[in-house]
Amino acid sequence: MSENKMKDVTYRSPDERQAEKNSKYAPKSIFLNGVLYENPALRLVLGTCPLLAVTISAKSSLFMGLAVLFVLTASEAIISLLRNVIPNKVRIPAFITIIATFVTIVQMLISAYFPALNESLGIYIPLIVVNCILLARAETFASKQKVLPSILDGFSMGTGFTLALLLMGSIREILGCGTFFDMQLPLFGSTIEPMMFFMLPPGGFFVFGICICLVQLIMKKQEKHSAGKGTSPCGSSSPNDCLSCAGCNLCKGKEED
Amino acid sequence: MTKEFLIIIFSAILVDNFVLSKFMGICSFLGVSKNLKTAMGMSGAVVCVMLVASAITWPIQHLLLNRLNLGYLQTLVFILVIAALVQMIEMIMKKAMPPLHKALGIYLPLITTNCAVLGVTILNINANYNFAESMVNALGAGIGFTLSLFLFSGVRSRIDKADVPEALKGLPITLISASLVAISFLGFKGLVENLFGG
Amino acid sequence: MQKLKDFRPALILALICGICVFLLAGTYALTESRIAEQEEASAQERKLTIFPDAAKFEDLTYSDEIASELDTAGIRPDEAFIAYGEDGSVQGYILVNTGFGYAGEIHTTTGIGVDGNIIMVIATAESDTPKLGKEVEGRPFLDGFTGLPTDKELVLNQDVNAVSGATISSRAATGCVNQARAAYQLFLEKGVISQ
Repeated sequence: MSENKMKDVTYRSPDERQAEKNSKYAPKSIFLNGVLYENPALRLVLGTCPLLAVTISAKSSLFMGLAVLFVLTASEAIISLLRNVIPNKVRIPAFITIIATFVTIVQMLISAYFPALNESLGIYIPLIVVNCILLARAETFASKQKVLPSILDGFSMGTGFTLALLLMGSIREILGCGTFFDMQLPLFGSTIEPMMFFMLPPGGFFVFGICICLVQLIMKKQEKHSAGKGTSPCGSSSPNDCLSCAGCNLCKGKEED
Repeated sequence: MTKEFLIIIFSAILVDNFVLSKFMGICSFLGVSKNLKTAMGMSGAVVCVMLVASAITWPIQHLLLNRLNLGYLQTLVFILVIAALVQMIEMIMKKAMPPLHKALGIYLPLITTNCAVLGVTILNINANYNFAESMVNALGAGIGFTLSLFLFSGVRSRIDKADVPEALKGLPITLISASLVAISFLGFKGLVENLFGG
Repeated sequence: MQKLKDFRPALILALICGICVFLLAGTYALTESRIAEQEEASAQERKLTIFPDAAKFEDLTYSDEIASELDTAGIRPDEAFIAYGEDGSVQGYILVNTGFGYAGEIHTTTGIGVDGNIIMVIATAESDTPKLGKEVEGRPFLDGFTGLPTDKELVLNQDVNAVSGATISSRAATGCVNQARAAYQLFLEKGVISQ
């Protein structure tokens, strides 16, 4: 048994040592990375399912974001804590179990304290389990890093996701309904007729496409100034190249086995 | 009875299409729709897993979890069942049906995190479907997924040839064209009510 | 030793699963009563909105035979209650139904008076799209049902006006009320309740 443990340690240590040296893992850059450069929703294009489905209003977007933020931070903390205990072979099921536990806890808390919210987010709460962000971060960050950086990473990635959700939710609610957090906005409704299109599924795809386009434009301008380039978890610069977002991690895991 | 089945299957394929209206399985929708062959491979694998997963999770929920008053374990148990199932299907396919494994094999591991599969199993329970209805719903969801992937891979092959503004190249234009495909599916709203007088 | 090594990953996974289940059971025990309370409170509130003077509500019970008849007709309510006044007299009946609106479930609570007319309908459609479905929750639409008789099928845009732009959900809500109405008629016919 001790032999096996040794193996695990030697397997991970080069990554860890490198990570410690690498300034990329300083608290400030982890935070900026999560919120901006590798924003899970707009840069890595992970977790598109809730991003498109619940953003019909700013309120439900915000709560969905907070739910993901909590699950992401908590699960990254636990996974990082157990990173030397979980055997490499069964790590994916172990990660899924831990994530599913926190999702269910969130689901129970929401239905106990915000029953109306539970109804409006509906099936998308349990579906946080299969949100690619969670497994991707568990696999690429939490399983290799110490607890505190992992918590920070979870928090910043969650914040980045929440902000992206809120952005899309606000755009769709303002244009589609003329309200913001259920408050009637001036001009909308009288001068500017709300456009139903934005509340409907096609509107979700459309707004998401435009948001990504804008972010890409901004990033391109930034890249001209600095050499830093956001990459997808696959290591390719275009997230499009992954067969499926979490897929790249699962495939990578296979090669390692 | 037949009418009920028809309503479920039409709703799942056209009205509440899993990809275009419920946004489930978007990841693979955007990922594999680049060409028709991979799209069909992925769809085939998804249909298989959806059917088997529904067939297994329904009895687990109704005969096991509900009786033991453990309903809250639903998400945990379902996702683990799906993960294990995908592994098993892959192994069985590899042994028993090598040609099929060759065609669908590489897509199978990606399915665990496809929310359409977990989505359909949870929806079956939430909608209070009986076993037969659950299977019909799973089949409809699978066909709906296949249909949208099939249509969209056609659209994408056209985009590749089109002259797209620089800023929209890549993902943005893909999403905007997905939006247009979704608009066409909006036309099916109310279809079921008008066909079956529900 | 070799055997132990093979089983170690499985054992650890099982252990993690066990701890997770334990954690979930704990959270469930803590939140269960509150979830039930919440549901009970909002259901009670709806019932009291319809029958403000009622002293108590009792489940409306019916035989399995009638239940299967309701199932065949597709009109079995999710829940059914009798409202009693202070003096123990029957004030009316409440039927809860579920239907599918534009993009989500619609739950209706229909109150029917002893005279056989609809007293009030309350609808909730939390998961429906704003503007296109959620509007059926609004009083202007639902008040259209008040006072309508239950002995004939209600037709949208004849008996009640659909919410403009939310036809599908209006139709679904009307369908729910029709189910409640038909179930009430069946109860009367079978003598489960009397007028």
